[in-house]
Amino acid sequence: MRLSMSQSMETFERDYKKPGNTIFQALLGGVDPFDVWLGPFYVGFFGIVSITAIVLGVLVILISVGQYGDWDLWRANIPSPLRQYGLGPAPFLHGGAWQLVVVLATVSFVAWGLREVDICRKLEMGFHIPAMFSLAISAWVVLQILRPLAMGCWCEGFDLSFTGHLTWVSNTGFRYMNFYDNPFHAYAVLGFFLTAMVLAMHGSAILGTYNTDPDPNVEMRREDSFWRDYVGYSIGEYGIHRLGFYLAVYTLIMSDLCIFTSGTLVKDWVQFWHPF
Amino acid sequence: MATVFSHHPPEPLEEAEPSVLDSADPLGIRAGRAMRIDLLALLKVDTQIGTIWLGTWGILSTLSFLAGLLVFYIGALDQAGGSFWVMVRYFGNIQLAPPDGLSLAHSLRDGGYWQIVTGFWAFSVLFWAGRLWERLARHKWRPFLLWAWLSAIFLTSVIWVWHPLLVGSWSDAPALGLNADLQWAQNFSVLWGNLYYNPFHQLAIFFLFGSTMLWGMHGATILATSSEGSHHEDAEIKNMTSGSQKAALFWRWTMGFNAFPKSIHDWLWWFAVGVVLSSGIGILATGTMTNNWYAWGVDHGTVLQYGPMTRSSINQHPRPMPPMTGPSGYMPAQGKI
Amino acid sequence: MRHQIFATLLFALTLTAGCAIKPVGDEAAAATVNSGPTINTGEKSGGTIGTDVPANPQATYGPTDQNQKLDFSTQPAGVPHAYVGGRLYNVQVLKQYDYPGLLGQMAYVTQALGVSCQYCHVTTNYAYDTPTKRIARTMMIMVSKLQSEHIDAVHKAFPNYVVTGAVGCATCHRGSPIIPVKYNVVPVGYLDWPAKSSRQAGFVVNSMYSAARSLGVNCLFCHNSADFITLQYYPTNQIAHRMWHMVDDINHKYLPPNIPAVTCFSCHKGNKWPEALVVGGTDETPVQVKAIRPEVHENPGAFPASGVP
Repeated sequence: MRLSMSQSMETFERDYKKPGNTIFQALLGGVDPFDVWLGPFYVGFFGIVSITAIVLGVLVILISVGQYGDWDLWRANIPSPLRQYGLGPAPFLHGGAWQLVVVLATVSFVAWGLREVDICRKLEMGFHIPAMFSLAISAWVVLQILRPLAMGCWCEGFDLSFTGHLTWVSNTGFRYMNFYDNPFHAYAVLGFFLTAMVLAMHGSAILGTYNTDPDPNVEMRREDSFWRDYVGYSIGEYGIHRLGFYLAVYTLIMSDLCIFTSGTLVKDWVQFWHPF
Repeated sequence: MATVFSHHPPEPLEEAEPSVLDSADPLGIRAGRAMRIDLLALLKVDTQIGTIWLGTWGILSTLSFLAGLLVFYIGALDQAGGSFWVMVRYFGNIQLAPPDGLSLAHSLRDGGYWQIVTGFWAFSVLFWAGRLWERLARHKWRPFLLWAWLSAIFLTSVIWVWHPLLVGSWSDAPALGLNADLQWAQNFSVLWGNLYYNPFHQLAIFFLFGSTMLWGMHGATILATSSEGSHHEDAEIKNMTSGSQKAALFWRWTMGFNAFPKSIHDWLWWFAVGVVLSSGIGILATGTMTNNWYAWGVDHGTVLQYGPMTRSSINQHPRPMPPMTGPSGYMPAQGKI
Repeated sequence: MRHQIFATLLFALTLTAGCAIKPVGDEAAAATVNSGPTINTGEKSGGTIGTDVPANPQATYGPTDQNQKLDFSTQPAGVPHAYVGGRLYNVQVLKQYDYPGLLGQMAYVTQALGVSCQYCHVTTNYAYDTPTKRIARTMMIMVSKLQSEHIDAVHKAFPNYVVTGAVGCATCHRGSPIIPVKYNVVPVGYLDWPAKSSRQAGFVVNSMYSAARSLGVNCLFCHNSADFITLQYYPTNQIAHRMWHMVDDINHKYLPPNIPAVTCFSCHKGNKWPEALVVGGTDETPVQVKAIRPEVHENPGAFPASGVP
């Protein structure tokens, strides 16, 4: 089936929109009532769960911000609970709203991931995307749930707001003296910068060679030849996607480690390097 | 059903077709031997290593780099008191610092080494840009990679050259050294009122995290559909087959819109280049637009203020740095080199 | 083959380049270091201290030479040639004590410094003036001036942060005549902000780390990192700034040039407040150290700057 970039997707989408093959069906059998599309969006059972959690979460946010009164997008803040509440529930304005939003957000993220699994099952593709997404939400879970649990109070989570989360990052860094001395942080930063560089390289490669020749094999050979001339190695069109994927995986794992070890295992990253 | 190895027949090594553009360069040699390392096939990456193009630009770039490295080594040895093993032991702490003020350093130890090495390495990256330009033209690529490299040079030159010039002292640039560079990041932020509140820094972080996210998305998408050939991206751009169709549909169904085999690479490229462009602008703005980003944020309403601020941290519009006279803080060098 | 020889020669050349370059060490150290602070001789002190700080104490302190030939021509007027026990001679600082009281204070001094009488005194003539005695007098005056000029002022401005007791010999010495120097802090003038360069900022940051480690706290004890410089957020920040002036005073006004500079660690030794404090003035009797309001030290950000409860 020929398709150029500019043609619409509805022409082939029809062929792939098949009912069935969802997790809901696999677990509960019978017909999945949510196995429908709403415009371009796939709904699914987990879509319902996710959107419900999102709507509820937004409601909690609106009520909480309304109570504080400052509606400015930059400054509106939902603070994490005070230290005195430890790991228990907090009153709504002093952290309860935060707790609700964190729970609802986590539910919606997990549901979104499971919805992606559903879509992968339908399209009969590999599960790399939900796997990657799980790593991404693992960062959220580590920051807002696992680390506060390990530290013994919900106050350790970051405030839900623009300024609030920025200041949290800054203060948490200085709380452990010099966060640049955290080796996991250094590895994660390396991962981020490498990812950005490799992204630029791959983007440039495709944008540099697409539609320069009617034969795609010639274009691909041009790519290989350039990389071999330039840096002595061409990783190949499959290899580059592996590289990017695993760089992103590496970066996220290092990030998780860097924040989880701070405050639990190490309280002073400067001293970490000369403990005696 | 195409396999991932379909374009790599195991036998012949690929060599670039000869071109008159290659022979125009007196130093134009494809150096080394192309080798095949079959172990790499396990990782599903290309198994051919080599050859590499030398070229005049490349030779010049390498020579400049090595010259800078040599001077760095000499300066490091000097700092270690002439002892090679002390230098090795404390290599992370070696620190060739820039001089104060904007003029040529008056001695090697007081900034001379830094200026020489930085000068050599500046030329090195510029020559490398020339190499890039020439090879892109030779292989008939559109010059996206060149713009990306130039953007990276933009950022590094802002940090090492333009920002120090604008604030009036080389000493605001990073010193050369492992720990020194790390410390510079910390000290720069503390000096300029906490860079988290610099809106260009915020944009740069958005692009940086976004780049990793995009790699996760794009890498995962291609790997997930590669059994149907989506990784042959040049071919898929001309003609979307089932792999790319599934990739596009996945995202359409997930988030309501999708990219295409070509346009996703636009996203990738702009996010990656956005990182260095935003950072560069952010550092240029530091010391010129304001000398305290937290104060700037308070003034412009982007920051929740925590309490009243004292005079010293009030947002001050371009405040020229006083020339640093008097003790630089280091033990002044007694010997002259 | 040729390029391998060339590479080896180049490598060998760069190694030998190190021998041609003079090491940084000796000359820098031998050249002029700071000419050193001079003792402020003109200052009159308040309270029970009546005398001026002695001028130009000699450069050597430490155990007094018991076998030295006594030279009375350079001694102050009150020193007897033949010493008779049971009476006080040549008392310049601890003037308010009678004989048993003075001996009691001497006992505290020896305990605080971990020395015996021979360290400062010539035991055949306890009244004889030695360099070690002279520096001890400087230290006694210093201690009571620090308390009255610096610490009492802080207590007045921040009553919530008061800790019972005053600084004394034991606060720094803790049983050793020579204090181990730990960490490094810049002079208070370096804290002027905005700093002149990232490098100066770096010295300040290192000092902040030293101060934090000396007190056993992290950066957030005094600062909110969103705005490091403002002093008004946390009272701890303002107190620390005043303490910094005090450290500068010690190093420039009281300590002679050849003694290593003190830092926050010298008194605090890893705690938020020093744990070896005394009654005060020249009274070296140790006290039980207690924080008036321990909770303010846990969360400085929660309490208003004025210190008023």
